[in-house]
Amino acid sequence: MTASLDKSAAADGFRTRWRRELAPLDGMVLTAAANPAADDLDDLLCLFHDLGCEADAAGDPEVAARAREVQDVLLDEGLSAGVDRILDATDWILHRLAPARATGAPGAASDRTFDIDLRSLDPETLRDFLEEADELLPEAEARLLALEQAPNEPSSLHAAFRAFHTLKGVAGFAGLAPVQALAHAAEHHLDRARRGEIVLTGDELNPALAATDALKRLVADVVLGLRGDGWLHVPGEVPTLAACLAPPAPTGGLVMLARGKERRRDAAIPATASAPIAAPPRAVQREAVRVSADRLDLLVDTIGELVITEAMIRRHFAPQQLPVEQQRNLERLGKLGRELQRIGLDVRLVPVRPVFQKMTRLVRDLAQKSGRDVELRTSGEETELDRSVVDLLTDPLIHLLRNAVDHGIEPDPATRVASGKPARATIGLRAYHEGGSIVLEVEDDGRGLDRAAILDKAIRRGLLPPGAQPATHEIHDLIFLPGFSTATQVTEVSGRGVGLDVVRRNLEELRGGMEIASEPGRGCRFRFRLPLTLAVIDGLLLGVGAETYIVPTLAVLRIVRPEPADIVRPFDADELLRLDGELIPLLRLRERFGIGAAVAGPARPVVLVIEGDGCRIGLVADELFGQQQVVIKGFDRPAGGVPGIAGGTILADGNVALILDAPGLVRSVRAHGERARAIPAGA
Amino acid sequence: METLARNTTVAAPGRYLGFRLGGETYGLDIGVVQEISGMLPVTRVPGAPTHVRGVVNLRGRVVPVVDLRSLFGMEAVPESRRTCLVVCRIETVAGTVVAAAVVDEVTDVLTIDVATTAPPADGATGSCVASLAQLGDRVVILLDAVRVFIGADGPGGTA
Repeated sequence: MTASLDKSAAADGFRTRWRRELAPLDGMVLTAAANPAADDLDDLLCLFHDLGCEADAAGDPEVAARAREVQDVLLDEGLSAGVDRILDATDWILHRLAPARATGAPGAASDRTFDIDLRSLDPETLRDFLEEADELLPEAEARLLALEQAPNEPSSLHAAFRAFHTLKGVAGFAGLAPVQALAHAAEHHLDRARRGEIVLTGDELNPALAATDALKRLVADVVLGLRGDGWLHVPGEVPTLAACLAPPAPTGGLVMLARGKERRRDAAIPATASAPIAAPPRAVQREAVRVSADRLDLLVDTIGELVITEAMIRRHFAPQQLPVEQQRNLERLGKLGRELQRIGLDVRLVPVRPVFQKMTRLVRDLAQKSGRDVELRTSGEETELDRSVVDLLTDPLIHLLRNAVDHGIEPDPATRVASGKPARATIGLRAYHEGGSIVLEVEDDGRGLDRAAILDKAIRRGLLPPGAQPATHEIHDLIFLPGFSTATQVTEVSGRGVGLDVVRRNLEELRGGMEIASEPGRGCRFRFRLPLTLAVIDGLLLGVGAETYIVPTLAVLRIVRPEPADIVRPFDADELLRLDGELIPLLRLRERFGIGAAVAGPARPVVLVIEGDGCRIGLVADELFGQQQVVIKGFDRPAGGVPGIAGGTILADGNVALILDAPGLVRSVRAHGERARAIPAGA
Repeated sequence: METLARNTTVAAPGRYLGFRLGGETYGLDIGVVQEISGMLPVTRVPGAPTHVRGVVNLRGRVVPVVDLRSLFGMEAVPESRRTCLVVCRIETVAGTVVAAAVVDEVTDVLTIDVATTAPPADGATGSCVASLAQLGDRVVILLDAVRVFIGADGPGGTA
């Protein structure tokens, strides 16, 4: 009894282990066949010899026979000529070794392009895999990048190794052979560093990073496959994926080579190799609880409702109508509601660390590509922001960092040394809190903005009159103008200006502001300020006719109640407000929103000067009711997507008020103004 | 998965929420109906299509309201005690859309045999009609919720 149990356990162990050993073989055989090296052949021979022996021992003579057949093919025909037969045999063996539940997909197993029927896999394990991969890959990448600063530093090295190892485990568990193979190869590469065979920096680090990227793509493909037709398609790319791991040495097919050698060591310790695979969830225990974003949003929404209901009750009763005790309870209810709201918003905050990690990688790649020696120094990764803000932050940062590396930093280190700066350039990326908002800074120690070149370009493009002497900050603002970015000459002469209008646009979406400080020859600093959250804003309540609208307070520069004489209407153009010697186009909200004269407007309406896209306009409203914090609620089609409306919010009386989209309104006025001006200009 | 199953029942002999607009009976697949609500104060959205009456506060959520009378070119009538909102939840590839329709009166839940339905005559009431069903001596106009609430050009456009 005991003996037969032992035997079946041994057979299981044999099957599991060899499934893992052979899974990556397809890609490796193909790589080796395309790039034959004598070592590869030896390694393959060893591999199949071992398989044959172990299959005999495990009581599977058919597998043993197939393994010997492969050895014969290798010896008689060589790798290149026999590749098809080797792959066929491997497929057959893999299929044979597959656990019972996988037998439903023999077609998948025999398909050489590594296509996997995701529906045949256990959905639970697959979900676990995706969740793990989501954390492990950024972790691995961050650790690898840390290694560049401190080559072969043990804690980072081990952490990166562990990340790949765990990923390999969960991928194998889920039945995703290509992921498993790649993770294994990366793990092996790191293992060589652990043993001191290589130093992980520069060219030796690249394969590991490339593997991380390839793994990310594979994981993304799994997600796409799950959403789509249920298949993971890896069409013929796996050999190159495997090849991406090979250091750029003249020994093609190096993965195969390395792998075969490593296998011989692994074979001796199968038990330790498989143990961590069974326990990946425990290996990555965290103190945090994973909650789906939807449920979090629902929580915050429900809290918002509670607060509004409380406000409605309060409006209904004058406090003195109620007994003292009830007054106190109501007071307490209100306080608890506000507290809950604060906590709810807090819960949605996440650290900017993942974004910063991404940027570290980006700068490294950019620097390498452009041949500059750049170090990115980050600080304040712990700074927390609303999830939605973090998502929108990535693009502007990429643009700014790309600009800093490509244009800000001197291409030639000698120039830097000559001007008394260290040869290695530094780019700082910082996040910190300041007065209720978050500040992000991108600072480089490069050339700084070339004001003369920018001014020259602006004048030649007709953006400024000849001989204009704008203030420094006005010159800096020019680089954010759409179209200025494509001005190649400025880019060549002074740098900056590639896609910076996109940065501004994104920041406006985030309701943030930006400042530039630049010192020629010393460097340049972009500093932007963002609200803590996009879910709650400070808004000014405006009365327009009988309706109430909200303007985000951050967008408002000034509020004035001008004398009628200060409003001028040039022939055939928009009304303008004369304010401190400046003429500001006016947008009458009554007209814009089609509010008739049924409710008479006041004789002296209120004007809010708002800014967007670097331009100012004045919004004309009837009345200003005051300022309050509002929770932004988007709404869908069919009412959504209307220009000039950013969303809605629920007021204390339970009614919905619309929130105005300041940049959108500015753009519409500007477009209108440009059309009006175009006529005299063309005539 | 659950929602997929729900939406595929549209063509099967199904249950529809019946409601009245003027003299006609209409039906919306019960699978997309989230709830029926009494009339709520509507905030107009300037610039939205004319058949969109505005948005309402549905328990803390801002929900667009479609005026079916306006959509079908019928004359407006004053609200009565029976006027109400049929709130629908439509799952699309791009996400979930929650929107409501103003109806004169909700009647009952109709069980309709798919064999009794016929496609609408060309051009009848625009493209929002999925089919016409015979129920006893009544003709029920079954609406295509996606076209009513999202439009022919698919989902998108959020504020």
